[in-house]
Amino acid sequence: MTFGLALAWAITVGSLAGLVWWVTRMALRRRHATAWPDGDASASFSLDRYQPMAGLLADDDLVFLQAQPGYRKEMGVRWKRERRRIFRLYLGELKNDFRRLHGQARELVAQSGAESADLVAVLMKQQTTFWRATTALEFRLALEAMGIGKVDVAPFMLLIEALRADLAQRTAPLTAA
Amino acid sequence: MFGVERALFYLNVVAELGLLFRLLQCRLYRIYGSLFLYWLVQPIESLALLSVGRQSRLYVYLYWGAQTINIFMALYVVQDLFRIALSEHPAIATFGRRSVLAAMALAGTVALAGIALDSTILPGHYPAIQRFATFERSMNFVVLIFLLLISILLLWFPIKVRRNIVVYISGFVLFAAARSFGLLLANLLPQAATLTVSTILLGLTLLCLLIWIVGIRPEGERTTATPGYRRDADAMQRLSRQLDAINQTLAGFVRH
Repeated sequence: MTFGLALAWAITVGSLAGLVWWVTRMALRRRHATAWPDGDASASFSLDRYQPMAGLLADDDLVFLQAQPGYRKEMGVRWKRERRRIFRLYLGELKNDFRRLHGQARELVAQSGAESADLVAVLMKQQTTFWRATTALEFRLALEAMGIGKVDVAPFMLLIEALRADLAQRTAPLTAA
Repeated sequence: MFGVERALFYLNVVAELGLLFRLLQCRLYRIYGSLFLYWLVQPIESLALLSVGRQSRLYVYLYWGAQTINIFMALYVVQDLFRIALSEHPAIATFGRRSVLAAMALAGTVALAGIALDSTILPGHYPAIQRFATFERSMNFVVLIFLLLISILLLWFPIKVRRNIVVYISGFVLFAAARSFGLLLANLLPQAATLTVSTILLGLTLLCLLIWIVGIRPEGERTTATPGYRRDADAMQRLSRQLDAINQTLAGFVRH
């Protein structure tokens, strides 16, 4: 099989499988949807809740632990593993909060008039930015688990805050209407 | 196998007429005018093909003509479907109209990438017939990708979609996928397998027609209650409680 043919198969089957997987995932998410307590998602969203995330991956605590008598290397490894686990819990909830926030914005846009058509593209761009940022963070987290590099959560938090503020600003006229 | 293929061919004609009758009976032929038109043309084409000998050159030309009409009508059908699905959501509909060409271009690029899959002509295959099958399956692939893109857009926005539209899209996804991959298989497999592939394709087309006959109903015009994108509330609340507990522990943690 030539390289060109292999590439053609990869694109055809890959794109189709990817799209089918995406549609199925979204459909299943809808099917398993249950009523979330109604309310303004943007009002309940607060980044303060996620402030401990930065501390979870900081070295200070580990340095302190290493300075204690009786410290063994496996203690540090376990400490880091637990911290990553808790970090992932926070990240999971942050993702859900963003989805809720973004879902509410999409609902507003879906119910609005033709003049809001530009917002559809903005929402898509924001979603892509969020996916990219979370994927990069998870990738760095996986690398950190292998002892490669460090995770700095500050830029991610700034990005989330910027996305939230942008979303709130753009959908404010729709909410008022 | 030839007998089965013939029987399925006739059953398809009957089912096509059944679908047309159903759309008329439920007075849905105006709303789904493109689908009605698409299946109105099919029995006419089938009758024209039946009136000509199967092994003749005229049959091949008629088949090519009919399939070319079908392909372009299918493109019209999916665009119309897109319009119907978004008609109650002006913002998304306006965005959809602006980006329909981009979506078609994207679908066309993906389909073009796969054009070389069946470029080798096996012994016993006719080059002209194979090339036409490549064209037909690629166009069906464009329709399939476009339908999947529409589905993603509809699912991404927490909008209510009529049940009939869901049935309409599901049927067309199956139909386009069957034709696209069936024709690819027919080109990749030896000549002896062509009849089997054709029989399976007719069977799948019959299945699509039955899905529409049974699934498209007057009550399906009422919107479905799928308000959107919310997570499992119990799981979310459990996770929230866990995180609150962790927060409290971290807040109370005093380093000595």
